Amino acid sequence: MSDALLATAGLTKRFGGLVANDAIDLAVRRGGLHAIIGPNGAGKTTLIGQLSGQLRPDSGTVHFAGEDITHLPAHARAQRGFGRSFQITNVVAEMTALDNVALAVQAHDGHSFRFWRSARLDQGLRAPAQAILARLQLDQRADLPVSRLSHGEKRVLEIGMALAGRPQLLLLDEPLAGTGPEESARIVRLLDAIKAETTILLIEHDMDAVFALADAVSVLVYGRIIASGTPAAIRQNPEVQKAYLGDEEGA
Amino acid sequence: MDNPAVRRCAYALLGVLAVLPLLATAIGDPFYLGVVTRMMIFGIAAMSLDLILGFAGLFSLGHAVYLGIGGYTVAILSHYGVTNGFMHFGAAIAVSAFAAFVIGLVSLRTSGVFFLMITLAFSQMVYFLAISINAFGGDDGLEISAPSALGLDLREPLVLYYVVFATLALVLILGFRLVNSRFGMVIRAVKYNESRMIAVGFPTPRYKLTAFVISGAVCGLAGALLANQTLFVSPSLIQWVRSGELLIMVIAGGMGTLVGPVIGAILYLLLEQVLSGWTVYWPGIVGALLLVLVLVGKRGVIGFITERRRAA
Repeated sequence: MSDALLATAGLTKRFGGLVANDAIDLAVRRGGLHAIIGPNGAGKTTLIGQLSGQLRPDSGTVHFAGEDITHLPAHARAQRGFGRSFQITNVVAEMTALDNVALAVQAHDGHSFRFWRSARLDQGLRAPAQAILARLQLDQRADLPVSRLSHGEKRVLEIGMALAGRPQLLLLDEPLAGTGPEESARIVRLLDAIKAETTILLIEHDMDAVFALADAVSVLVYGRIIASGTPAAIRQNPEVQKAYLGDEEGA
Repeated sequence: MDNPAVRRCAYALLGVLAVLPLLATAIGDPFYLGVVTRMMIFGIAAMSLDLILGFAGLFSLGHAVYLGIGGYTVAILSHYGVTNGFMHFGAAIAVSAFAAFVIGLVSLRTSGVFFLMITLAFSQMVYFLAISINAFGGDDGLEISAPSALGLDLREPLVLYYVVFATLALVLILGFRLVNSRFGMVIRAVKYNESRMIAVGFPTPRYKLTAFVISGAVCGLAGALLANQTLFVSPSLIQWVRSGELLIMVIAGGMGTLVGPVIGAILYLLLEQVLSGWTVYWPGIVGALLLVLVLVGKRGVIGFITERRRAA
């Protein structure tokens, strides 16, 4: 527990009579990629909401880098190095790819009550943003409005915005959602490179990607974590096979 | 703005307004000087609304309240014998900013239609307050015995014209800086996708509130200028119809361009001037024109000017 970057204890969220998250104890160790898998309706979205600060837990705590962040608002968590991407592409479609990443850089460069200098001519913002786009192989597309990027490019940009804050932890909510095989392979390669330097908490449906990338896997079913362990151990776990993997492997 | 054509348009407009008095003097009709002065004052007010509407995406239906607060501040100070112009303008800006802070603190908790209703409700509250305080003229309004003493004779139409012109130019140029600054980028991104800006680490409410306060303060300044021109303030200044007119100026001129709303204000008051001479039903004609404008091009009059330039 002590070397956990992100740890929850007894995290619970109810919606009326439905217990969406039931006393979740999760520990994400520093370094590597920790994946959370689970069938639809298992409570993954609720868990993400509570981790990122959009949902207030009914009980339980969230600790991040040794600090209790249970009651911190979303923006303050981001400031502390908790970067996230969204399941449904969530970028500023009306601005360019470079603007989007530059804004993310700006969010981590002190306050923005600066009214005089042009932000678009500010190399302190543009240069790091360019570097991130280059790393994502989006530099050729930097000056296009995001609405003109392909779906896969938007998914990559989404990760780039989360990376701009140099996060300690990257929470990725189904980064492969809706991508084709080629785009999917590109994102998997990207995540493989990122996890060498940044801890990633990955929520993903694509089992091939999860087992290719993960150093640890937790399985969420009906609001509870039924198993946590190495990918190999999770594959062997009979309870997991029964609850979840059986269908996938049959397919 | 990012669009250089919009910038060129702004500088061209300032150029025309700078030399216009020479023309008016040549015609020998100082009346027009007053008309254009009024247009520029409403241009400043419309720009202030554009900051929150066109850039931050906040639909306020109570923006005239700051026009009224700025105007009444000048009138009330001079009512009590304060003549110092710096006091007048300083107080008008400060009181409007404070009012915007209070109104914004409450109304920015909502968005969309609810934001519109709350800003409307606040402006109606102030409107009825202005009607009910008999010490300040109530329904009849309050006369101002002399313009703000700035070391310039604001009674002189030409002097007032250039004071207003200088203010307009200053607001426009500072406005361009602001919307392109780091602050400007945040409020513009919030307009499109606030949840993303929060997730990326911006405490967005305080940026929206700051934009709201700046907007209110600038509109209050316009109100103080207006009071100096008319030497009279009345509750009609605060009426929600006025707020609606400001919205029309911004939308017809072109939201999110700053100079567009100035052009919108000029055209609106020009139409009012010309059409009201013909018929009392002139607002109907303005309504029809606005309808056509919005249906044909969502970017307003400025859209037509800059698009045609690009095509040429």
